[in-house]
Amino acid sequence: MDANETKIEKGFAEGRHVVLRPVLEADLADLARLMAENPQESLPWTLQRLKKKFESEKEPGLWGKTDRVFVAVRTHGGVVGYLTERQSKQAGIFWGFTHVADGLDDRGELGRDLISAYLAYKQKWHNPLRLSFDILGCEDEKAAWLQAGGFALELKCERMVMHLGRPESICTYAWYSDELKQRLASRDKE
Amino acid sequence: MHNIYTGKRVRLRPFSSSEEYTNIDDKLMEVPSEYWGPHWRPLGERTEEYAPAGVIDPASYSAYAIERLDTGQLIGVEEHGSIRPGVLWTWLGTHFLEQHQRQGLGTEAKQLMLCGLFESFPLETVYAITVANHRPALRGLERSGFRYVGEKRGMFIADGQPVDEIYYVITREEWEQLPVRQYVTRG
Repeated sequence: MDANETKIEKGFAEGRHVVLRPVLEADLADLARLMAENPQESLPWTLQRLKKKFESEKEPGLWGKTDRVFVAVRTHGGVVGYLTERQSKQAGIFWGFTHVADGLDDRGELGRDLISAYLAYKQKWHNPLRLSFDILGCEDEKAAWLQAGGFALELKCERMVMHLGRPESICTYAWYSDELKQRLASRDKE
Repeated sequence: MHNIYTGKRVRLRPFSSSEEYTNIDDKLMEVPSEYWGPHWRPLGERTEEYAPAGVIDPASYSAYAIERLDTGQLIGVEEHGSIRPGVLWTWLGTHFLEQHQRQGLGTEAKQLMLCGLFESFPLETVYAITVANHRPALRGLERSGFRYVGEKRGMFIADGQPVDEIYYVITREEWEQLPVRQYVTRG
């Protein structure tokens, strides 16, 4: 699906199948389960840990200075995934990671829709220069969602995390705006 | 677990006081880095950072004083990132007062930090990140035993131009081959 097919409302992203919005207290139990399932999370997320973070004065509502968490909710209800966004101090540079619940029949469709909706949201409101997602080297499905959304493999770092008893790499998939592509091309010509 | 590592020209050690930590940080930050640009953290934040454990907390962030052996001067800060269960990597960084740069001291400081990291924690890799136009840092990393992995393009903007972030790595096997292991003094 291309960005033109994505409907956006109220500053947050609405795709064909999922809506991305900030986390509400009622989402925490689902989110804790999804975060524990995501091989990229290095903390063992529990509901209690997440509740404390949600209530913390330093990072209120999982929408803090460093991390901003969006939940992905089916258009007809039900939390099915999430996306954590981080932002550089320099304008237009964002990165993050994402997860959609394992085992869903339509996981691929939801994952592609989530990426597409997020990209459309960023392009509409935040003038991004570059966006990137980190995934584990073994996460082939996520790589396919990102590639379908216009992201390409940029960097692979070996032996970064333990996953299912084995060292795994972390891969960065990046999307560059037209402006960044032009500036890079012009710089590289010099 | 050792927290003092001495080489031939420099020593890494914990900061002796909050004042020592904040004073050198003040000096390092007062002139914007030619490559990374201006950076400032308020005193209160840094004092708070020192209070729990003298800025040596493997779970979040650690910073060591770099001391010159010939003069005994405090000349910089060696730092590393968090070390967490299931995560096989961390990062390190080196900051020197300008008058002590480009003398090869950073190479040894990095190698001493690598000894501390690989000897104490079940890490597989240590990464270092710099910007593409920071040639002294690129050379220093290579002299320290790191090798180029790749880059993230346009992660940084300077003078209106995109600058790439460059990733370097050293593995446990590569660190084991470094001569520093034969002469480092611990404790």
